[in-house]
Amino acid sequence: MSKSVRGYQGRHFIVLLILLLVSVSCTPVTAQPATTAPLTAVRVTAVPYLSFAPLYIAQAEGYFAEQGLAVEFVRFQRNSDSLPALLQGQVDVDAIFTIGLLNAIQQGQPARVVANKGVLTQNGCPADAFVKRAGLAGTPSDFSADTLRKLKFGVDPTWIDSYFLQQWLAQYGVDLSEVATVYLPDPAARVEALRQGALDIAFLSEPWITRAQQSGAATVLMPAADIMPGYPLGILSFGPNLLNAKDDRGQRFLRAYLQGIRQYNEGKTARNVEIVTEFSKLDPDLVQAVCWPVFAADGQLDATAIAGYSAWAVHQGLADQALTPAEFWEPRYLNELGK
Amino acid sequence: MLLTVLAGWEIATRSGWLSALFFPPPTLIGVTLGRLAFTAAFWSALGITVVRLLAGVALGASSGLLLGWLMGAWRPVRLILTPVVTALHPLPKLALFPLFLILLGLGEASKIALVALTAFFPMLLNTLAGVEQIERTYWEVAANYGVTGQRLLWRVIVPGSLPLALVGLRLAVNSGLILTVAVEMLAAQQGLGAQIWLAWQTLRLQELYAVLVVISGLGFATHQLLNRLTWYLLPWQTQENEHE
Repeated sequence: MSKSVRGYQGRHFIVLLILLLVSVSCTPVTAQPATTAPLTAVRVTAVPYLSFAPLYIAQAEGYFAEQGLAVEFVRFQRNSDSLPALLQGQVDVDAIFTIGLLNAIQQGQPARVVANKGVLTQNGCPADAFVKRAGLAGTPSDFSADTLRKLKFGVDPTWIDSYFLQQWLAQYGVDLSEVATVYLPDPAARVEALRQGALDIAFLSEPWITRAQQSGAATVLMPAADIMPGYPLGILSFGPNLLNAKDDRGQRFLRAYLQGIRQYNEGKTARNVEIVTEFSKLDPDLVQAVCWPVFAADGQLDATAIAGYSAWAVHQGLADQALTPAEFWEPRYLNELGK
Repeated sequence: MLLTVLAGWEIATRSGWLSALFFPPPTLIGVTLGRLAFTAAFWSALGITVVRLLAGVALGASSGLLLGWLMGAWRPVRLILTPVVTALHPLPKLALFPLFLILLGLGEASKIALVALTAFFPMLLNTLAGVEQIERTYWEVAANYGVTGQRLLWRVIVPGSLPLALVGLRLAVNSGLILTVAVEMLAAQQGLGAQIWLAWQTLRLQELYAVLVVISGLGFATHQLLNRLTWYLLPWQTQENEHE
């Protein structure tokens, strides 16, 4: 090989080497994605019921992730088990409302109601109602006080359905203590009890109202919204983790939650039905057929109505002291979102 | 020992080391128990639980006792029923409660029936074991004297199986008490179990603990009663124990 050829090849090689070194220095050794802040974990009590749909929609559509939150849904076998977990910081948000929450707040525990989760609305399609067994004739206007005193009611003695029953019976001059009540926690057992005639009237929520009607066991007697229109049937509460948080994850959580409500309020769209079917494991036809609960778009709630429930709980011996709205309602998270 | 634990608990709660909400101080539990003792609702709840327990155990234990004697004394019955018993025994009885509700309704029948089923198996198995451990000599002597039927039952089977049958009764009562409270927690308006459920729902845990104390007391009382029954029915056994 001649010197000129070797020289040309040498210079060519050096140029290539320089180009290679320059390209390597401009490119990271290992290609890394654009750095993103890690998502903040938030644990939320949730069960696969229709009344939790906006939460599941927000999760499925990535609204929580957009707010930098990694939301984990935590399920408990019994509703009353979620509150201790909230108070001990094992979950951050509780979406189940019990009298225990009001008692815990009254005892100075770090928990507050921060948003609405369902409001009773008279829209001709009740998601929560008192139903009557198939063989029980008459409408509410046909009933007399004496008739009601002879009936058996399936209600939870510590929950809102007893409160609604009390309000309804009061229209007839009847007190809750004058009627027979039976507590069956399982809605399937309530429907079966209605079918067998062991119960005359029971409080049900969807999809059990539709199931009871489709099976011929019961029909809607009195929508809950007709008894107490506008009542906040569900709430979201924050525990110490979010109440004491120095960052704004509480507001971000609610922002995503409200986005979930906005999409939910679009109605039974194909996407919403798909999400509800997925998390509830209900048949899509049933999801289409049932009445969906109503959610206030701004997440606000009537705290005075809950204060009335608190006073009732004291009267029933379920609580020691009635709470005022200022003692349990913390609107600042929603208020800051509205700014 | 117990006083030391209670004192430690009291100090831990009062000083804030332990959550007073979930572990109320023993003194508060005592005060709550005292307050409950003056309410008619508490005695009604206690009475209802005791009635359910007694009714269920009477039904279940008597059935188990009779079937245990039958299976123990008669081989064909034992061969036929042993696979059935061993298959049914491990079933979690509480899981069967919804079926009992459907079959027997919302009243007391479903609850008492489930308690009876719970009491049945320990009684059956221990009685069966009691019959099986009767020495062969006794059977042979009875056969030689032509003792059969009721005489065989009262002269050989009953006294021979009684010690283990009484152990079975003790287990039946304990299991029955546990299940009675559990069933009441699930689906009863009244009873100690319903009180526990209510205390948990309303997060007034001092009442929950107070009821647990009462249930412990009930367990202790039944234990003492069964000791007396054993002393009465097996005087030779208690005398042997005293001499040891």
